[in-house]
Amino acid sequence: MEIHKLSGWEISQKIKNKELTLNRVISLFKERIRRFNPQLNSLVSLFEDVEPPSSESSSELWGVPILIKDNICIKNREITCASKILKGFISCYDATVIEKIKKAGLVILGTTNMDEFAFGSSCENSCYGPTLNPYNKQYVPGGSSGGSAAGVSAGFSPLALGSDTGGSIRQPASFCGVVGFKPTYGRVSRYGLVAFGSSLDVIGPLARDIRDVAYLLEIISGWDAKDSTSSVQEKRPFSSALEDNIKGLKIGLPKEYFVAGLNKEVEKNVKEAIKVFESKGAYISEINLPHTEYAVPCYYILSSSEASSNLSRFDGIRYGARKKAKDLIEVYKKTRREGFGKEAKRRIMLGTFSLSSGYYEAYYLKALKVRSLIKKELQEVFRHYQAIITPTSPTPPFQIGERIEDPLSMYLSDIYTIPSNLSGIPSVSLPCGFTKEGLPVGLQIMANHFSEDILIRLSFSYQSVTNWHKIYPREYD
Amino acid sequence: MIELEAVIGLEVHVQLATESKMFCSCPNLFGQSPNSLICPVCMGLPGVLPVLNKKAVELGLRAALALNCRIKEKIIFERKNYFYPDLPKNYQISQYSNPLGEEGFLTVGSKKIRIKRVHLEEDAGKLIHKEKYSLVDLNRAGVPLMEIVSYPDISSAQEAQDYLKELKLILQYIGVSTCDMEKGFLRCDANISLREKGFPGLGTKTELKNMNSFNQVRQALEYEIKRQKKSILQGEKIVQETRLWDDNKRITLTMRTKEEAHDYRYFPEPDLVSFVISKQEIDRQKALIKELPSQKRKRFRENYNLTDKDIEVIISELGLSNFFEETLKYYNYPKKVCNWITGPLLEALNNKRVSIGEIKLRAINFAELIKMVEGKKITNLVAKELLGELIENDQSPQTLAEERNLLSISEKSELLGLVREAINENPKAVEDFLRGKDKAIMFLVGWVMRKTKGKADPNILKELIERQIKEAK
Amino acid sequence: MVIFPKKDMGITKEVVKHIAQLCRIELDQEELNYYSSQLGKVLEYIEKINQLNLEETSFEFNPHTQTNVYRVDKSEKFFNLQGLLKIFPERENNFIKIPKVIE
Repeated sequence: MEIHKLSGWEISQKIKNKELTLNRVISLFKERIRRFNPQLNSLVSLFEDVEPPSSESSSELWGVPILIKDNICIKNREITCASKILKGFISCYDATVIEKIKKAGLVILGTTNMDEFAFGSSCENSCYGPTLNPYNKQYVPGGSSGGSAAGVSAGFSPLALGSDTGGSIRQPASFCGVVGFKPTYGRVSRYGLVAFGSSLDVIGPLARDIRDVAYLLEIISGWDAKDSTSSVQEKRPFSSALEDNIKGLKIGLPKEYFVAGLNKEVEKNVKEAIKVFESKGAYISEINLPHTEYAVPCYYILSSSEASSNLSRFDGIRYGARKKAKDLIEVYKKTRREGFGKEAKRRIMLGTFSLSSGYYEAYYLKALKVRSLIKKELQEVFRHYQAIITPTSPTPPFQIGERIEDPLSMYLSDIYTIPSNLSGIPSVSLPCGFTKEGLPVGLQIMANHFSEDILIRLSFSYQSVTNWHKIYPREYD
Repeated sequence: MIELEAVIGLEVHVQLATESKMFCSCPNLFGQSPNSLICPVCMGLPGVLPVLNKKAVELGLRAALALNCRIKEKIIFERKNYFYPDLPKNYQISQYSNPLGEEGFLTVGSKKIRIKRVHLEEDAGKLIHKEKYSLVDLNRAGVPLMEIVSYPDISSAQEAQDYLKELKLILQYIGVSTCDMEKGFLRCDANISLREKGFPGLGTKTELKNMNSFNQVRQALEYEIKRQKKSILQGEKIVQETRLWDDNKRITLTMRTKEEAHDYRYFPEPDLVSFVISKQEIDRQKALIKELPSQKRKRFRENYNLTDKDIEVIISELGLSNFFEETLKYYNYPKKVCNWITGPLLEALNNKRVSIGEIKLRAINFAELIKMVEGKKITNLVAKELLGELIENDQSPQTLAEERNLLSISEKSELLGLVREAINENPKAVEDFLRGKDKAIMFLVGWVMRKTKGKADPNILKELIERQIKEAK
Repeated sequence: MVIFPKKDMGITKEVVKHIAQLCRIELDQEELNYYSSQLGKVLEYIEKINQLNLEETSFEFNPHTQTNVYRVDKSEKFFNLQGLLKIFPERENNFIKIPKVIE
């Protein structure tokens, strides 16, 4: 039995019926990580002293290992957001999601690499160096949750948590051939997630099996008194959506997403996948989302503005890596100059600019209006359709170094994923094939607010007749 | 020669009397050991989020209503971005575009001072400056704050002080803040400019900071008015700047000019939702306001026939005026009760260093004490002595006086012996009196008072002594 | 005080210098050139949203569907105060020690 190829829920079952022991499972995954991580740089830190699972719970994922992105606070662990400015910072509290997964008996193996402060779509903006794509080490794993996606892809753990502000769970999931799920904004508490774009950030699961995703979602969702923006929407048992029944579901394909910039191979794989849904009784038709082209500029203004403010706290005064300086102003300037990477500086400056006197109306306020338009547009579609399907990314994974000096081209890789963050609706990326070069292609499904069950149903249906999610990179098979 | 007039606006920050901070559950306490009232949220650690204190909104709303403001139906919070070591997140969660209350007013004497806005925000921490370094204490960071900005309707330094006194009174009355300036619960900055009398525009204004008492506010404004007048009359231009009040030198000084004017880059706080202020909530807070100082003043003036000066003292603390009115229920002589309160009672409170809210004495017994003096059962002196004790141990003054054997000696037969003794022992005083020095008799009265430990009724004594001396002649 | 150039002048080096000061990030001349050029390109792209006529468009201050999320006014000391004091980069008697602030 190849343990690393089992789904999380399967591992849990086998531990419960004593086919496997907890220790065996943990040591196996740790062994794999020790052996393969140096090649991929998926993990930033492997916990030597892994905490044993709490005995309180008997959840579907009890005893299952999980990797956590380096921007989610774990008590007594170093958390750096892949930035020099937080090097050595030890969190003194658990994020709410961490409390929940600990309570449910999952085992945290370590923290994963990311783009610094989640700024990026390639995992190249990390102070630890890039994570490499397990399918081809010349290529990026996507970002910013590149470490989590690569880790699940290479079988370092069946589960991982990532964060998604403009596509940071879904795009790396699609680049690494795994499932990445972005819940509705407010569905999962943000308390303990180092903020990037506060009105956009969502924590979500990465895995291969949609069943794992559903169980993990159940565990991490829910209203949190510590997060004013978390939703009181009732938590549905997402696992009851794990059924192969999508007959009659109306699915829209936005014509603005299937245009010239879309890579031909990506298009081919996605269209093949759509046929699967059709064959299972779903109705597919073309829809319009005319404001699509304004999503990226709108997003970059809003997210950078929020980020520029959220990152002001990193000044070396109360915590973090403080640079010695002769006076206070020097402390700020030197600490931030040496602590932040290039992309972080770009975003902070862009955000500061958009909010500054004389520019606020022209940029920030306008972006708020565009956001409203995009949200309304999507809500209008959902009056008649239950889901929208698009490619996750306009291109397959690109090469390391290819876009790093061209921020604009990097930003454009988020074009399909951004609308879901701007509007707050949930979305998922499913592996749906490969390019001729053997690089993974992902399919994105979006649904209306709080309709994660529709996404789960569609994903389950798709996974019941396809095997893309079961394919491992050759080297890590 | 042109006549100049002062145009003054005041910006007041008031700490709200809540149990916990604005956005986290840390205790809202003063004077604790440094960095003992902090948590990840008010420290601005990575990943934390603010959650709004309901009581802070209630108190802010109550204050805005008491200041006659128009209440915003839907409020939001905004981030005010700037870097400073006492500001943990390097932004302050405040209100900018949608403040809680607007366009209110406060009446000082007979003049209405308009209030531009009342809004809520969080306080910053404290800095202590040593010679070569500074220290940061974040206990105060995150404490709920209310900012009250007036229009520049104030036209004199005295008026400014009166405005502050009235504002403090109002806020104390409605239970929003104790406004203790010594503890920094109330802070005030002033904006002042001069203009030609009758001229509609505004001159260049200077901002004044670092005034630590209402007196200092008045003094700083007085100084600044003089300084600006002198400059203008000499043909100099007033520089728009911030000046600090130096209480030692009694002058305002230019603050070291900052590098740039602040660009606060306000934008809506994404970590907080919007807040709808319902009519029910407004009505609820209105009902909790009860009587404002101005209303009490009017009522006291109409019902009790006291002087304005007396009224100001009695109403200066809600507890005091309540005690006054409670006492009247048992002894309905407002003027007399008032005198007892503004005199002996306040003196006793001072001596014992307690506030009216802390005393054990009940109004019924206070009334009895006064009645006993009026009925000559005890002397004034004895009453004052008893008062000191009653404040700490409430009981019937009659009982206490009997226990201590302090009831007045008014029985003339009892006193006659002592009077004769006084006359015999103090011939010079008697002589002085016979020679026409009327005051000499008080010496003799005092002599007997001492002998009786204050129990002798001085008026009766005076009469007796006079008669005895005249009879002896 | 820097007088902001008109909006259509985009991001000049002067503007970037001022921005860097506002967000307390020190840039040397090389970096100033580097970031100015990149930000200029990004800004050009972002200008796209000005193609839209948004005069009549309403907006929401935030995307939150809920309103009035409050906390009850009860105080509670943080359970791990020692943990917080430990992370101060420099400490003196439980104060955070910092270089002198010139007021």
